[in-house]
Amino acid sequence: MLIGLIYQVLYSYFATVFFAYIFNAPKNSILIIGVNGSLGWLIYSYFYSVYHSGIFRSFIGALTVAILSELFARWFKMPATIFLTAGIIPLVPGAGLYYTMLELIQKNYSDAVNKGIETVFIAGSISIAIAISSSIFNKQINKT
Amino acid sequence: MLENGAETYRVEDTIEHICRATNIKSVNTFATPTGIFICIQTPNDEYHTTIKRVTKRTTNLSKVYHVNNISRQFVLQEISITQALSSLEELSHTHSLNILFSIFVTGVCSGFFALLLGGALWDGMIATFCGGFIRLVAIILYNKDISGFLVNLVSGSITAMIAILFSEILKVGHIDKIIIGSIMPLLPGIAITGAIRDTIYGDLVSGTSRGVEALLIAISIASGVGIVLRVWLFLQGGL
Repeated sequence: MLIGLIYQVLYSYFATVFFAYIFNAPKNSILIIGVNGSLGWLIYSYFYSVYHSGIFRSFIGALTVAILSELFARWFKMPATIFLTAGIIPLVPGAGLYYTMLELIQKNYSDAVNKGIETVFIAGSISIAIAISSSIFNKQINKT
Repeated sequence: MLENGAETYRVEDTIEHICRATNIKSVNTFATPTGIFICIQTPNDEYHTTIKRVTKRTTNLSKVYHVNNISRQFVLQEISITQALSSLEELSHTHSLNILFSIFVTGVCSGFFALLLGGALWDGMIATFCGGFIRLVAIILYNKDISGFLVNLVSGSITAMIAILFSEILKVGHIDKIIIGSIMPLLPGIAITGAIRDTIYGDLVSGTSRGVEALLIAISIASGVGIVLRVWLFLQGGL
């Protein structure tokens, strides 16, 4: 269990760090982005053992990443987007998209709808998490 | 900035701050992911309008960061306008990622995603190869000015072909782990976050356009993978 957890953290750390390289993030922020991504994934996989709801744990994971990005942004005086874009990537429901498509081509339409709706809701919950933290941290929201 | 993946409100904010730091009476900006409109009023009541079209959109976070820094220093009057312009000029000449490095990084990234989703070591290695390869293909296609939709479609199909080749014919690795790992770098994570952040800041136009962009990317990848898998199932005599 513990070893599995360590592997998960390592994998998510490196996946996020290399993703940050793809986005050409500033050199001095890349390690922090990795920490951000792996903490998000840690929370995400911890809640998997508590609730088996993919939607809820995506929400919690994304909320963690989003809040941490805003904090890091203030700490390192960089735009929060830098930390957010790469940090959120491990939570993006790529697997959901794939399984939806797989069920579709096998003509299991009810399973496809099942998976598809779950994928859409996971994407939605990630968005809501980002929306909540950005609204809390930015008072400029009043300008709308 | 828009070309490199900043949110539109940040672009508008930057423009307004810069204009306030100079002796301009009032300024109105409207930024969307495909163009920027600026209208300024000079002290002697003349209006100047300029439109800047944004044609290509990539993600280069360090450019966002540096432009942000330069404009902040300019607003705080730490640097003069000539210094600011020259450092911006310098920034626009810095090339983006080396192609080989970018292929390597994308590949390794795909590999780690395959491992993260519970794949074995083999899956990770195949996904690394596959991710790097589709990155190479994508770079070649983009240089030939082929639309993003088609590039994603082709990348998706190549991913599925490689995954089928290894897992079904050579019998190593899991097909689903390889495919998911390799398509992760293509997925529109940035477009989704950008769309949400734009929408809550009230930029409904850019929010919806980025949302549509994200949806289109997801659909094109899924159909690319889907077409190849469907053909494979058909060839096997299934369905």
